[in-house]
Amino acid sequence: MPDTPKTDLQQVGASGATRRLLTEMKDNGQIAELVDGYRLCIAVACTYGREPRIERDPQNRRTTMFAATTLDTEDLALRTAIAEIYPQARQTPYRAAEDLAEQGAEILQGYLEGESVKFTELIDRVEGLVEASGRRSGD
Amino acid sequence: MIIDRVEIENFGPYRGSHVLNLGVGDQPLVVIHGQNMTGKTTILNSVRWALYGIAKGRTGQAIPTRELINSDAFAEGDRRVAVRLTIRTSEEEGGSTYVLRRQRQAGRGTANPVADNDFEEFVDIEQDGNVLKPLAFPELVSTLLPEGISRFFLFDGELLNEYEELVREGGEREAQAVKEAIEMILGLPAARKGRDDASALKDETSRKLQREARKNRQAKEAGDKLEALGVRKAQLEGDRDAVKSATRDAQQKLRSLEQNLKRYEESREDAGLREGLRQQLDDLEQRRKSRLDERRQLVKELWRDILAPRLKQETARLDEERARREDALHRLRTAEREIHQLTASIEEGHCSHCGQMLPEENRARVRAEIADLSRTVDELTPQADHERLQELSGIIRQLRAVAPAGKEDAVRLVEKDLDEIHITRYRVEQDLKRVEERLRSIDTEELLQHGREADRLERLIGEQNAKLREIERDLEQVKSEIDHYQRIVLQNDSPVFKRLEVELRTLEALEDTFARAVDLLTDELRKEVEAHASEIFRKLTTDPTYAGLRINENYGLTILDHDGLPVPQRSAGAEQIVALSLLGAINRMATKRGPVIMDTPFGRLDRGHRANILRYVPTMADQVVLLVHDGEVDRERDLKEIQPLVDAEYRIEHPTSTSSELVPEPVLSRA
Repeated sequence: MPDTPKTDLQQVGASGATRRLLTEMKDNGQIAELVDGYRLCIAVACTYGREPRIERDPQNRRTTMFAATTLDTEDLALRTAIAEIYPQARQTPYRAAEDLAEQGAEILQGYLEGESVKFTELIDRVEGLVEASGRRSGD
Repeated sequence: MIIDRVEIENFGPYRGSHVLNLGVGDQPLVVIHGQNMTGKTTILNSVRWALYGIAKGRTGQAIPTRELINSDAFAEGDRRVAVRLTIRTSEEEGGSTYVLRRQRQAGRGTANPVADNDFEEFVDIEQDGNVLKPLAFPELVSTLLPEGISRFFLFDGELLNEYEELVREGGEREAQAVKEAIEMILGLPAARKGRDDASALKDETSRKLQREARKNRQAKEAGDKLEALGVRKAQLEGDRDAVKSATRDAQQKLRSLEQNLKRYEESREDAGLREGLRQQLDDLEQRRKSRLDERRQLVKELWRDILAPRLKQETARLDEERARREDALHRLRTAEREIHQLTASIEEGHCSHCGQMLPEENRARVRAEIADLSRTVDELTPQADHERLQELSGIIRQLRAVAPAGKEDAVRLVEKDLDEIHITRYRVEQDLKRVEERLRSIDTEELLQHGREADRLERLIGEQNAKLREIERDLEQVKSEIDHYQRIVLQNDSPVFKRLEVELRTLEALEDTFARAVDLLTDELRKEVEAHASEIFRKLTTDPTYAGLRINENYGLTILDHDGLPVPQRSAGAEQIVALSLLGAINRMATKRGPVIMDTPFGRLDRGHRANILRYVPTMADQVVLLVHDGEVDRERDLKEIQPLVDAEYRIEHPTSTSSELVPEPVLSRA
């Protein structure tokens, strides 16, 4: 078992597959900047209830994409959100964000229609998840 | 006559030798199935070419020999095209079997034959196994099926269009050629020839009179005048015939050009349509780009909306924790306050609330109460963590700051519009593709030349007509002067003149009789055509409100309703039915009988009309060959009813774009 990292990332990265997806989305005019897609991937993974794997998988090489400060908003909203949603990642929210981005990219692949992601379907799906979660908590 | 066999070699898409047996049994109908562009019209053209040496393209123009030769064969050095027809005539027509063969091949020493004169032509004829001289070929063809009337036997969609011109208002010039052909097949030229012969005999007598007059001393002066007038008349008639012939040629060329120009008109419309569609595509692309840009901006913040449900869940959890901790803090504060008051009461010996003395027996109870409260304080202290409470408030504030961006509805709207743009673009692209396909076959430069040539011919025809009117006027003047001088000559009592006068008056009366006969025959034939066409039309039409047809002097036909009133509007399908009715009537009345070969005759017709026509066509002639595509005639459904009348069926296979094969199909009833 690798040691749980104590320090957070200053730079976040992505695997080749995630980078390709984001580049394709940018080339197809779906996102203005790669970072917009990266944030979307993180949000998708969070809402889909995915858990971040804090340790990096040594088999899955990730190359640096952005500085953590570029990824987050001025008021560090992303960092706050991750730290609160995933208390185990409170010390290393960007490390969690990086893994969530990977998982979110895999989910987004499923929304590819041709070469493009259909955002309406993603929004509908998210609303469906919320309703299902509401029903579960009401049970 | 019956065409028993057609053998084609390297003709159009048919590479090598192919045989089509048409006169297999006793039934009249042969059906050849083939998709568009596979070689149906080529079959019709092969018969036309074998007989008259001309194959017609889509616009009615002659196809150059180079284009007739199968392209694969040509590429491999086989630069020859040939068609052989085996024709059988009935007992009334002589009861012979003829074999006619026409072949064209690249001339010796011609490395790259392009123009028609780069090819040599050979024709062969046999009659009942005896070889005839090639020079007899045109005469034999003229006896079997003269080219002038072949349009009533070998016809395609183009011909139907010509008939539709005929039946339309204002199509007189286009109709002229068809009208002449109709009158030819109906036998009018024979009556006209009688009139012309009487006129020629009258002229001959007139010349005799003039010669006799010059011999007579008293009539010599008038005779000299008559001779000069006779020369002038012959000259004017020669000029009139030349002008008429030139005008006819010019009109024929103009008709052909106008066919092309008509297509050009459609092409001009297509060109406009293409511009409109291209503009529409540009506009759609602009709209798409703008929508994509809008979506990109929306997607920048969309992550907040996607994350919002999860954050809401987390915020609710933190809110709950904060409420729980606040409650613990409140309860802790209360317990501490009470401990403080109770401790003071014990120390001071009286109740801190009411001020009364605290008896000793109650002190133990108060101490126990303090102990209970102390335990509660111990329990609540970890929960009532003030720092955590402050932290929670901060976190909740921060999480709430990660507010949803509210972009979902806008994204939905943009994507809905993008979907609509996508669908519209696909439709416009398909329309554009079709229009461009139509425009691809148009040589704009050639058509511009045709336009210029048509203008020139229009002017020429106008000039020739003016010239003709002038000649006719001069001719009338000369004839009047001849009459005048003839009367002077005939005042002479000589018996020769008396005899010639009788002859002259008799021939004048004969000429007049023939002229009236031509008019009467024309009227009669027209009425007969109208009656036959109406009868056929009633069989063919599926509209019960149509009662018949009315003919005009150009053999144009108008549909009449049951009150005998003309039906003003008619569909393209109805025009096709009218045209087929006219063709049927003319075939019935024709002085010649021959095989009917129809190419794609059902193009614009619905199923009801198709069924009526299929029932009717086998009665049109002793041999009817139908060239049809699957869209026109469904073999299983449409041919079932007339199956007993089908003699043979073929299917055109088209394995490659440059080759076709004729495959015999088992006739359904015998299969």
